[in-house]
Amino acid sequence: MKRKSISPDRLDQVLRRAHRAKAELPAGSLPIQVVMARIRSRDQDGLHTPWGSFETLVWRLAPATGALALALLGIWMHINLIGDAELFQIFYAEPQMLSLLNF
Amino acid sequence: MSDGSADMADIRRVLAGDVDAFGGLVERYRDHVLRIVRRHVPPDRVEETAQDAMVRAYQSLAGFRQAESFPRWLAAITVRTCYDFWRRRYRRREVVLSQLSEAHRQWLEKVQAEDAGDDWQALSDRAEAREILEAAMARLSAKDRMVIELVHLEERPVAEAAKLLGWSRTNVKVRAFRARRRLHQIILEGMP
Repeated sequence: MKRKSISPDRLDQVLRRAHRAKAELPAGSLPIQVVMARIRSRDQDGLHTPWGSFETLVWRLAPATGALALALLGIWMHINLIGDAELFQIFYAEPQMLSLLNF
Repeated sequence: MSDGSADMADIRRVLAGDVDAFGGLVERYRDHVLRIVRRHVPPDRVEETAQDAMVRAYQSLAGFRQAESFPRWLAAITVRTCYDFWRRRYRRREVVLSQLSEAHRQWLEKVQAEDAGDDWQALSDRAEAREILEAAMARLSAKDRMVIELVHLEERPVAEAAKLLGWSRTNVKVRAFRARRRLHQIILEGMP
């Protein structure tokens, strides 16, 4: 009994014709008014430009950036920003300052 | 379709803020877009997808380079819109995996019998051919579906398919080879 013997090339030809026939089906239309109405309703977004994409990204990241800035501000207010060299100078010149700085 | 100068004039007007000038491009290229979309999405979603492609073309118009052909640029946007349609459908699991009916099996049997004859051409034009193709395509991924349609079913060169999809040539070549093998396998499994 002959089973599953269709050649791959013939199968491709059959499928190609079936696929091409899809383009000839009278499916869908594209009325200009409908397209233009959709475009006008979205026109506040404007045309996408590279700068526009960057701007969108900046606004999307704005909440996270603001939160990060606040967190850094909090950390900066609570940390001692005296550099090692300056600390050494203070310690060397006025050892009694140590107690005042609470080291 | 038209000569490029009319297209460029409309594109410049749109970019200068005249939204209505895009209507001229829609008028000239709606059949071009519909022909592409009909091949890649189900008939009941053609209109919506073609509109999506046109809106996307409008929004991306600033990225159009004068050196390239507008119909080709629009074709790439349309193909990618069709690909996005399938990606969304697969993600929402809206792709129906239909079983082959008795009519489909009989059709496959006839194709098999006519393998050496000429009646296969008439058989290819029957609705069963499209339904079997669609049932088999539903078992492929969105990427495989698009690549097999462009490379094997529409016989476009790999370079052109790569440009339309925005993928590398190697990716298209490898995926097309694997997808064709898988498509044949699916159809042969359904054969009597």
